[in-house]
Amino acid sequence: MSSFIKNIVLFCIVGLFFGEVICRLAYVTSDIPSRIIDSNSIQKYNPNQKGHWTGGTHTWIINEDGWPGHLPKSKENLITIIGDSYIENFMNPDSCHQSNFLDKFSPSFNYYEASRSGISFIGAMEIAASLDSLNPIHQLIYVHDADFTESSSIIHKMGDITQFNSKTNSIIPGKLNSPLVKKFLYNWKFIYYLYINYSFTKKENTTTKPEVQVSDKPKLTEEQITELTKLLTYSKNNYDHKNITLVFRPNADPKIITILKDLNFNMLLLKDNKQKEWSFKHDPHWTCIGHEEAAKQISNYILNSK
Amino acid sequence: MLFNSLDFAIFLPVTFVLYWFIFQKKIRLQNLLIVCASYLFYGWWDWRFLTLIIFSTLVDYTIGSLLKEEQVALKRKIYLWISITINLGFLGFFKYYNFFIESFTEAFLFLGKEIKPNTLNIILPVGISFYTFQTLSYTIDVYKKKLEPTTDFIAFAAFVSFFPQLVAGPIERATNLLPQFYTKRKFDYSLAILGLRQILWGLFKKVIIADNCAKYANIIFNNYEIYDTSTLILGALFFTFQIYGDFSGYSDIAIGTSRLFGFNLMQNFAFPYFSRDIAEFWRRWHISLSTWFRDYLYIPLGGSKGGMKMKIRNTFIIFLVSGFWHGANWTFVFWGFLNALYFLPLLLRSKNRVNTNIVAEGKWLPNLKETIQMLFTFSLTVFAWIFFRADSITHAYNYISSIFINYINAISLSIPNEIFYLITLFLVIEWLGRSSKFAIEKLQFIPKILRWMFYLALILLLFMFAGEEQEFIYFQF
Repeated sequence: MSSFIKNIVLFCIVGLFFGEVICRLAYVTSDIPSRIIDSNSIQKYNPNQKGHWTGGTHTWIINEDGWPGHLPKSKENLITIIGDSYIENFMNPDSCHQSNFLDKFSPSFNYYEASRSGISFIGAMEIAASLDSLNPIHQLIYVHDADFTESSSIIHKMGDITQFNSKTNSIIPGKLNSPLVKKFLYNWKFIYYLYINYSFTKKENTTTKPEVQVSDKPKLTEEQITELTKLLTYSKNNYDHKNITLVFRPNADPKIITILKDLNFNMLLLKDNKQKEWSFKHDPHWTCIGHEEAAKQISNYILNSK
Repeated sequence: MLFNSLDFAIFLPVTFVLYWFIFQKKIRLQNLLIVCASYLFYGWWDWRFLTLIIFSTLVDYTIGSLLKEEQVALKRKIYLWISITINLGFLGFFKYYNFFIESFTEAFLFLGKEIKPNTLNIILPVGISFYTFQTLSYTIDVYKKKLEPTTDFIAFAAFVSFFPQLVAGPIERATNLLPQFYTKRKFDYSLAILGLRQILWGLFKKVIIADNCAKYANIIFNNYEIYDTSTLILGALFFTFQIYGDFSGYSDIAIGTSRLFGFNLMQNFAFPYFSRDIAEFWRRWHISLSTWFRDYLYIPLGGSKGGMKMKIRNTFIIFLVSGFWHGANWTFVFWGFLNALYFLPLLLRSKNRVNTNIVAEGKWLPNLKETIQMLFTFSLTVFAWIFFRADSITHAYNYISSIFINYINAISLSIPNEIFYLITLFLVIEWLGRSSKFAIEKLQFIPKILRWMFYLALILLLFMFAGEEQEFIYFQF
């Protein structure tokens, strides 16, 4: 028995090493940047990181401010771009960031991206407030329906993202979930590969927050609408919305739009061009085409609202 | 619990450790652990049907004890028939009730009389056909005084529910498996290594060959109207490899797992697609079922002793019953009938036991005659599998018709090259290992480093080319 156990253990060690080599050579999993929480209780990435996307097709970078992508050359005439995994955009090459396309269509401005997957609406508002020190002339917050419901701890309590509690009328900052386990998992590529492909939980892309498509989305209940109204009223009263525009991805929930309209939020509702597919086949995130199409509409909006 | 699931990947080592490190001192404790683990394994799927297994166990244990005490022939016969009626009664109810009702309805409709019968929403308990036959073998062998009835209930319960082969065989004979529960098991290094190797090969067959072929076989069979001749032939070929990879893969994992626990189960597949005639094919395909029917049906019916007429009758009975055993659908019956037809010329010419050795034994390649024989037998088998896979006889008929009609104005399915490379690799390894119990049995003769590299390569392929997880086909039988 002892030689059996010894051989099995040895084989497992060799197997793990062999698996690790294969995973690293073939980039079977995407590199995941490590996160921190800054002095403003905002979750961002550790600055100056670099990694590969699945398959090694391209690399992503985290800039010195702790956000994906490059910093602008100048902070004059600045527009900030705040959002979730769509804006973070690890799945596309560097040239397909929103800031690149907006720079192409409206070069008179400088663009500063601040994004992180899984961000909620209220989390994005916190980031926008923290970026006020850069004196942006405009702040674009890219959102979708789920970002609002996930912002309310009453509707759905989530410990790892920033939320609003309507009972205490306060913001609950998100916490880092099991950072040590994640660090271990993300660095041991083979184990991470096994985890994402063979874990008990349903397979999902761990680098990005799964987005709910409109057609599959459950309808908002009256209680949820009340909670959303409280959330948005709080936002309106506690943040400076003068320069902020909420950029909605196509097919936004009309009920949420109605509440936002009633509260006089600045909004831009993107429309997808049916001739061009915005998203990947097996991933709701935008492709380079989707980013370019979105940037065209946003650029027009910026130029018109100037 | 599926063998190719994470649940089983946790269940197996935990049971192994408990078995050899905690419960190893007493054989009854080890048997008790096997019973508990087996019930957990089965209950993972649906715990309600555990009652059926427990009931079957109680019935056959009691009948066995009664047969031991009873010397009056008539009473012994009655006890036997009670066991047969109860076991086949469960099988008949859960598996065939709706089929018979629907068939009667259709027959009456054909005669011009419409009846509205009550069908039931019955769930087929996984593996019922397998453990029913296994427990029946015990009662019949005790009745025939080939086997001493057991007085150890735990050992008997472990024999009935032994988890590696509980849901899809091999259907073990009580004379082979039950005595293994009486004797003290000692951990055997070489047996355990052989078991792991067989599990690995079984996983390769199931996860790579069967699951990948299943994807395309399903697409093609479900949309046969639009595909061209070559795609339809490929569809039948994919199903041919799917069913072999699926079922023999399951058997390999079952036998390998048993070896880890110190048990030897019978070989269930012996490279059937390298057969030179249909008789050889049936000596190599699902051996545990074929021999079960031979021992408990064909021989009691008179076997081949009563002249040619009786031989033919019994052969047809065996094939039809075997077809029907596979499922409550006329397609299976027709599949059995077709195989009986294939078998008939060999039987009439008394050539059914010509090819009893291994094809091209000791040679790298077969000669021309053997190649032609193998290709011919394989083609017959592929054709028969169309009926096995089809949803109905009409579906099978239309599929076959489409092969001849759809050579124009039809589309071909784009199939990735990898699947063909994997099937080729699989066939090459199977061919090289055809004189063993399973293809990679005799790897111990190559240096350890090469052996380990081969294992790692197989595991890598399992990760890289795993098909979508599919339930084992034979679970439904």
